[in-house]
Amino acid sequence: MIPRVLLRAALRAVPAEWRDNVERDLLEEPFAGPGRRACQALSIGLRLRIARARDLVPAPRNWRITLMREFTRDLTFAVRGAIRRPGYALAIIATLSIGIGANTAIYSVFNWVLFRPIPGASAPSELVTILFQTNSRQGQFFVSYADVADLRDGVPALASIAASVPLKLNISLPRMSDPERADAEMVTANYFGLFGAKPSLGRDFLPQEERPLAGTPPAVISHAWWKRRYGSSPSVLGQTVIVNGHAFTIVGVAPASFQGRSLIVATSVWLPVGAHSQVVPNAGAGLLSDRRTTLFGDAFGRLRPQATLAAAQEQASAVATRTPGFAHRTPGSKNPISPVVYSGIGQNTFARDRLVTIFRLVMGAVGLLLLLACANAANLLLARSLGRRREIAVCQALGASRLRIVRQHLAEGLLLAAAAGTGGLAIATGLTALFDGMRLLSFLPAVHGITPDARVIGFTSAMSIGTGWVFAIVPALASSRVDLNTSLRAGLTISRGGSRLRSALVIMQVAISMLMLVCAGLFARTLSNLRALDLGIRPAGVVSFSADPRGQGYSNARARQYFDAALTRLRAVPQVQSAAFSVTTPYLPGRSEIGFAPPGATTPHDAAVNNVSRGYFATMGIPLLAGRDFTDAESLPTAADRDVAIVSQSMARLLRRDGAAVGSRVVLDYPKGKVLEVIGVVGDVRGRPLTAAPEPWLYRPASESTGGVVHVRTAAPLSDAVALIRRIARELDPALLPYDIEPLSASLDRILAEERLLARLSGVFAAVAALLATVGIYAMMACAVGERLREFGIRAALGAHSVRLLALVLRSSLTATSVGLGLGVAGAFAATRILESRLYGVRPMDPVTIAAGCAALISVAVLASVLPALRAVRVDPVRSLRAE
Amino acid sequence: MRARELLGEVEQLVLLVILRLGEGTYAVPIRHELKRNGVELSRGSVYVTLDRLERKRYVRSWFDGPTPEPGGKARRCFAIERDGIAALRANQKLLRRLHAGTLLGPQS
Repeated sequence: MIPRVLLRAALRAVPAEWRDNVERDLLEEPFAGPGRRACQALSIGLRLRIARARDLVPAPRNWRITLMREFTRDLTFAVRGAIRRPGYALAIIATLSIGIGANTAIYSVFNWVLFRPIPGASAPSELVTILFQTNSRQGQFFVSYADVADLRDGVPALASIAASVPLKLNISLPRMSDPERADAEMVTANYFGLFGAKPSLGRDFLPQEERPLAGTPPAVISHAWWKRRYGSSPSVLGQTVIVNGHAFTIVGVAPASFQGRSLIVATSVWLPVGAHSQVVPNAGAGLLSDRRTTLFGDAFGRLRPQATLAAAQEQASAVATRTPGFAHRTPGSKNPISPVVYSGIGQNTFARDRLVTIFRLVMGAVGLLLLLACANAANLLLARSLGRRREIAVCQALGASRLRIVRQHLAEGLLLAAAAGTGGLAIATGLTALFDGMRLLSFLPAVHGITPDARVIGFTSAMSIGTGWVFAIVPALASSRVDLNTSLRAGLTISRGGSRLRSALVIMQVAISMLMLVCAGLFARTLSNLRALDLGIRPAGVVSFSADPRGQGYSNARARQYFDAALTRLRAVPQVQSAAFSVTTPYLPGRSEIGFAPPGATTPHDAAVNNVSRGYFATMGIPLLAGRDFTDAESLPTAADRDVAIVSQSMARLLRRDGAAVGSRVVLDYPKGKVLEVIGVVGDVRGRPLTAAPEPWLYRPASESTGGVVHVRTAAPLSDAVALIRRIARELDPALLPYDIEPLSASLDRILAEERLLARLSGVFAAVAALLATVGIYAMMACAVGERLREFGIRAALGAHSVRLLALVLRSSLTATSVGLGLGVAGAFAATRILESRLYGVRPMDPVTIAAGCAALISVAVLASVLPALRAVRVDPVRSLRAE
Repeated sequence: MRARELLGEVEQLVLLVILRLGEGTYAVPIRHELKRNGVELSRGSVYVTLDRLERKRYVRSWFDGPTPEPGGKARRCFAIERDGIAALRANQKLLRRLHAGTLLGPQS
């Protein structure tokens, strides 16, 4: 008998299609000893395999067809298995759907604002963006029209180069009362041609419309605006639209899919650069000819079919080098501004960098979530395959190889993951709706209408397949290692290996949840710390609005009178406590800086500068610490400029060590050598970012300022204040639209958009992670108790008290939980180092947050083990012993 | 016509033996026939060669019925293919050409 077994074993070495034949041949031939035949078989098998490997000639059978056929067979089997035990299948699909859904949702949001091709453009992969940056590819500088025109002639690798300036303009229709503030672009004539956006009605711009235009210049309106304001009427062509007080003739309607250069902002109106004197009245006549007047922040191009990005870059650099004065170059300047060609069109670099950082962070978090879901699904699959031990053992006894069993499990995993991918897409659609109308960054507009595209579907499919492999491989390997002998017997044994693997998976889940809870806690505390910061101003009760009279064609003097009149009227309203004008608002975009020094000092400092009217400090709630406020005579727009200034406390300390700066003098960098007298010191407002130390602020009278923000402090409710502002603005000039009317607190709240996004997302993820961990612990304990029911019965029969049994079960779950917690804390220790720069007022290893996370997860573990534990306690010893 | 590589020595011998024994022969008689002619090959060599010849499409194989005992195995039978004959012929031609005009000298 032994030689027979030996021979069989040895024959395993022979390739399958030769095996039977070799066996038969060997049995035919006489051999001396019993082991000889086996040795021969082994040697033949090895030689055949070696020879084949050496020849590397494909095996005679067509492996592709074989593989396909076997895969189909595995898949059908998996479908049957899932239908037979729908509970397990549904639980796994639900778990994975959550993980895949979260990933898909986050990916589709960032795909929408970062990665998708520009909508409505033909062949978007050929499009490139040209930025104007220093040698180190830093920053983003503005260049003149002439610079772009030079590039247009000098880069043969690009079929065309166009440029546009995004603007916000007052747009109204004649005879319709309310103007609206809409997104517009001032573009070169080849702009639409470059994007390949054929107007759905009329024409786009002509080359001669790049030269200064008189009369009523042409305008192209967006499809959406056409639909909204003209009811898609084809008679729109030739009609007049009022932009910033000037009449434009509508010559075309853009195609429906095209929304302009941005992925987020939908442009409503396009105007040719030739109309710049109507659009930007104060830009000066030389805008299109003077190289020193900047206009464009970037340009776009389209690569010719055979051209490369590198060639375009080389040619563009050559243009910059050979053109004197390109982008403000001076001979011998060390760090000149050069055109840099990037592929694709999207956000500006600053927004892009910030978004990509957030994207990575959030993707890391949802990636962990998916891993967690995988662990959970693996746990469930493992529990199920342990229940199928006998079945698998029978398969193996009938000759299924281990590879075959593993493959079977993988097919099952893929099937479930595919179903989960579909579920995930559905969940993602729901989740992305939550992002609708949300600002991802404080300075970006809110995103709208996020829809998954082919990339998202591809991402989800790839992720589902990957997920299927990841969660199925561990149970597959574990269950294929079945000991036939024990499994085929009554199947009573407890698999130590299986339960150890299950606890390992639960430990991993607890660790990941812990890590995510700690991160969420830290972000939440950072957000609340930032919210609690004293900004140095009292925004409650202040409503602000902006107006742009100069854009509407006002002269400087009339613009000043406009604000003057607005303030006078506002102050006359009894409910208004105070009203004031300022050029910029602290914390909000649009501030400027100025260099200064105390007289006689050599080291210059930088200060943020703001031009304000009388009453600004009272309106904003900034305390006046010493000296006096500006007087009307100094600060009214009509007043002559007096050389006075008010400084913030931190600037006062720079001027005089004791901070008593009233009466001291400040020398400005620009205009060079101008001396101001300090007449007052006010409280600090915080720096930028908020977590930085307060910056020095220099306030000057607003007498020369012609555009800015009006702040109104009032006890009236918000709606009344808004109505009041609108009424006064209408009385002053019905065509000039006040915009951004909102409580100051609302606009200040926006500066925390990024922190709020992170805190909210991480909070949601951590909650889901904890939920998944609960399910995981429950599944582990339910399985473990199920396997040990007999043992509990015997213990109970021998007199174990139910409290002892309860403790026994809880102990095993709490052991796994605490090991997981330990690992999670260690992981958090590493991970929070990366997050440190995003935290404020809380240390990365904040003991309170960690303790709270531990407490949450321990209570979750107890909760998840109670049901299985009660089952263990209630076991009837008589019944379990009878089964023995 | 595809470019043929040279036949190996053992390949050539095995092909000739299959030709000689006729369609339906199998590994054991092939090895016996070679032995009868004074060539002692290991079993492994015979199988490796048959495997390779089949992959080169010089021979084809099929299974005849299993032996009547329970669990009996099928036997793999071989026959030479047209490509195999062509390869033998090309080899013969080559040898003849190389031998032509050379003297091997008296047999020692």
